[in-house]
Amino acid sequence: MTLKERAFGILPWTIAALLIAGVVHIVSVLLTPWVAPRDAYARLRDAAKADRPAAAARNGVMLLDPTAPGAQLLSFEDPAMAEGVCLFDLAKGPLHLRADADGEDYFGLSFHRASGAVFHAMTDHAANKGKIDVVVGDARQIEEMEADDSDEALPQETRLTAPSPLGFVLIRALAKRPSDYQRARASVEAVSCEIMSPQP
Amino acid sequence: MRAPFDKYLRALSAMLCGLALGFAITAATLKGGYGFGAFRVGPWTAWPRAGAPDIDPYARAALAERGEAPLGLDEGLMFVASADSAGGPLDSRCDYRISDPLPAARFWTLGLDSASGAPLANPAGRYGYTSVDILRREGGAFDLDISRRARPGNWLSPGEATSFMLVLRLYETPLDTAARLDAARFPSIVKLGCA
Repeated sequence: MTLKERAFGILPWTIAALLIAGVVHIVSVLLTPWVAPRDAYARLRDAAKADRPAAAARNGVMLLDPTAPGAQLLSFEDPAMAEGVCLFDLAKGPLHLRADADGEDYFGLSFHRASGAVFHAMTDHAANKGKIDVVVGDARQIEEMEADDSDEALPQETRLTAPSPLGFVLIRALAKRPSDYQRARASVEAVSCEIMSPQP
Repeated sequence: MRAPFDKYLRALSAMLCGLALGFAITAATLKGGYGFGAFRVGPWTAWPRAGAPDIDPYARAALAERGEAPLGLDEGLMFVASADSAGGPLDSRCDYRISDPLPAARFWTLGLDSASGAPLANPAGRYGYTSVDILRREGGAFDLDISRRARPGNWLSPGEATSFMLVLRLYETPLDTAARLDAARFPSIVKLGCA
């Protein structure tokens, strides 16, 4: 068997290997958000399990420890931010989040799917008269709320349709100086997250 | 009689090679970034779509794999740099100076992280500066020194880490996915020397 014949013999198998590699690559990228064991939601849920009684006392917001070496829960978080989290499971009802924003210090809310991807974000600039009032629900829950609206009064809250039933809201308040940290933390603590009971 | 057995062996090895190669490509693509649509400006890189609703599958996978909850694009944008302005990789044995200017934003923070996104332990216990607490010269310009040895003025230490990343977070910046970026409006990272 000459070298050329050998090469032609291997060629179909090489092509097959490359095709398999392509399929494996695409499938593994698409599956990673579903199977990644330590995604943001899993990390926060594990922390919430340890923190649950305390979180209930703080209006459903779980305060995160200051980002520091060896103590950070999520990757690439800003150590200058005081942070809190509200986990939601829309099967138990829509999430109602209320916060005060003084408009002076940065205050941000990002709404995440379980995999960590953002489906909505807002800052204190979105506040209406110093208040942020958001309801997160699935498509059916939001539709029901819209159907219940009376014609006279416009709804006070911002309504968000979540793309997945599980997710979380990350609350970030900037401590402009290290000495402002406690104040920023207090503004995160003042946020309330409650599960709205389903309408009868 | 050898031929059919030979074919099975080849099919098996083609499959195993394909599997290994496929997973290797996935690991490589998820390692350094967040898929498509990156902003590259001088040594700085950001992935604005990682915080936007039109996120691509690579960014989605990278976020889940890293356990990251990125800033929403309406909140801000995170830029990272793992090389200096001359293109050399950041080395914690060397000293660097980061200098003005910075793009428009309501607030910004500038700090050091490990490649996996964890703050670096250092003797000063400081992980970054904000636009408010950084010391500025008359006129508002500033320098920030990165060094293992203590420096006067704005100073961050990578501690005992061998490599590090610079992380610049712009909060409420007008930059968006359609922005045109000018390297002259981003801070420079200049290597001063190595120990």
